[in-house]
Amino acid sequence: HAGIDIAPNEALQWITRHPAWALGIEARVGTLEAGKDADVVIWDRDLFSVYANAEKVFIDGRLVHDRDQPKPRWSDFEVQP
Amino acid sequence: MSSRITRRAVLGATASACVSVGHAAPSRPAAIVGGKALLPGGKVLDPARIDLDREGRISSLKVIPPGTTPGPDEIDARGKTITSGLVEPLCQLGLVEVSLEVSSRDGARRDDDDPIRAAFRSADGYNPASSLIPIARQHGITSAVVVPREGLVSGQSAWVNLGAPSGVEQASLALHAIVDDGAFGHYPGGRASAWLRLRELFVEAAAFAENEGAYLRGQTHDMRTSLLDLRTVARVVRGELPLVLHLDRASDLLIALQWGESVGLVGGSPRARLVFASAAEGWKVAPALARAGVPVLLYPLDDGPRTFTARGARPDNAALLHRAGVRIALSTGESHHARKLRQVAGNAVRAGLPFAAALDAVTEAPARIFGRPDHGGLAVKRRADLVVWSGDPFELSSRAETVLIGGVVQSLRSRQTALFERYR
Repeated sequence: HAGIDIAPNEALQWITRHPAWALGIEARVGTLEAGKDADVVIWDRDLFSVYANAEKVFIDGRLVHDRDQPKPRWSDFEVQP
Repeated sequence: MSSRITRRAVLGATASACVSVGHAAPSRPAAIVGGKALLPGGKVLDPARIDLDREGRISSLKVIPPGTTPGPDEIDARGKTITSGLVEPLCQLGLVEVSLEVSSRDGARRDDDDPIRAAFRSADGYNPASSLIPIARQHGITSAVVVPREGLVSGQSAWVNLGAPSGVEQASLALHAIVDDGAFGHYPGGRASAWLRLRELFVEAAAFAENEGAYLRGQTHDMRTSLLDLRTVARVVRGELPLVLHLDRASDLLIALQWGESVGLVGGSPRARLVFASAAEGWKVAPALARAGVPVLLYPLDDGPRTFTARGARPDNAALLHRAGVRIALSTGESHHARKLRQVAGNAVRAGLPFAAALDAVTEAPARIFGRPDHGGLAVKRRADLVVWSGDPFELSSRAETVLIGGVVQSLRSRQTALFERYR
């Protein structure tokens, strides 16, 4: 908007790879590469859209958020039906 | 009226030099030509022509043949999206400049601990030269409801326009009472005490309204409430001033409905005399809200259990209330970030609110709820507060390219853009 062209892929790195590098953990997280931690998000559309929903979120390979299952079993907050 | 238009025309002429839309846009255009106009109720005119009259009002709205070229005095909106200006219905724009600097904050009564300050008016502290106003305007917000905080009855909000110069258009818009909500805080005495004090306040105000003369002659029992506060609340009792209750919990909403009915603020009049703000657990009592016809001002990004009071907060609150037939408007509850109103609306859509309902919730609904006949969604005879967007107004990749207030093209420069230019 301010007249500086930033490709979406570059902007994506600002919120994934670059912070990982800044924290010194780029070897483990920050990009989708074999050997890195399975911290993965599956979006229902371009994630830069305001309408984008995270369908599935994996941390260390574990499904911690599933849009189809609103009550996660790792939390007792909504244990009642 | 005419002097205000003249002032605007002069400032509009200066401002037009800063607008960069293809060729130089006229400062007081005769029409907006081309593009997709989004009207209330999901109606779309594409391609559209919006004619503006000399008083800065919309004189006609129609579809035109594709391929029509704009004339010299007309804004070229081909390929763009047009909406009416957005309305932020719960903020402190113009009341707060630097949050941690007390002298720059005029959003609450500070000289008295009495939780009842009904006569306090945010309009008296409003600063039309606030640096936050151009920032909100730059993102398509053309009007705002500026609300006082703190206390149990915090005072009266004002309807302001965000043009240059900005001005208060209605200094006494609604009376606000903060029971317990995420954005505006809670009554320190607790909710049962809050309801007790509110009931007492309205009993006194009703007695006062019935016979003000007797009160002034000292012929009524001693009232706890001050004279000016009684006068203000009497206007609410008489249906002249709407009451906005800020609350989240389902139990509070039900008490509010019951109490509102008992003091005559629910039902009967087509104009809203009782409005709820925040209502994070509103979805739990949606049918009751719909039956009572009480409109609700929501914060779509208050979407999780951040407080005990809003344990039931969920992202699809707006969608559920809308589906149940409740009249809703959307808000950021912010001043520095009021500009995010369109993003907040987009998030409500993400969570299930239909796009057309979300657009109405930030344009038409706040104007209807607060009884502003000149404002609202795109419609003939309304004031020409319009925005030409580069795309979907709720997507962050889009931006407001042209903003008109009262038919005058507004400057989209702000302190932020000026700093950007300097340090680019």
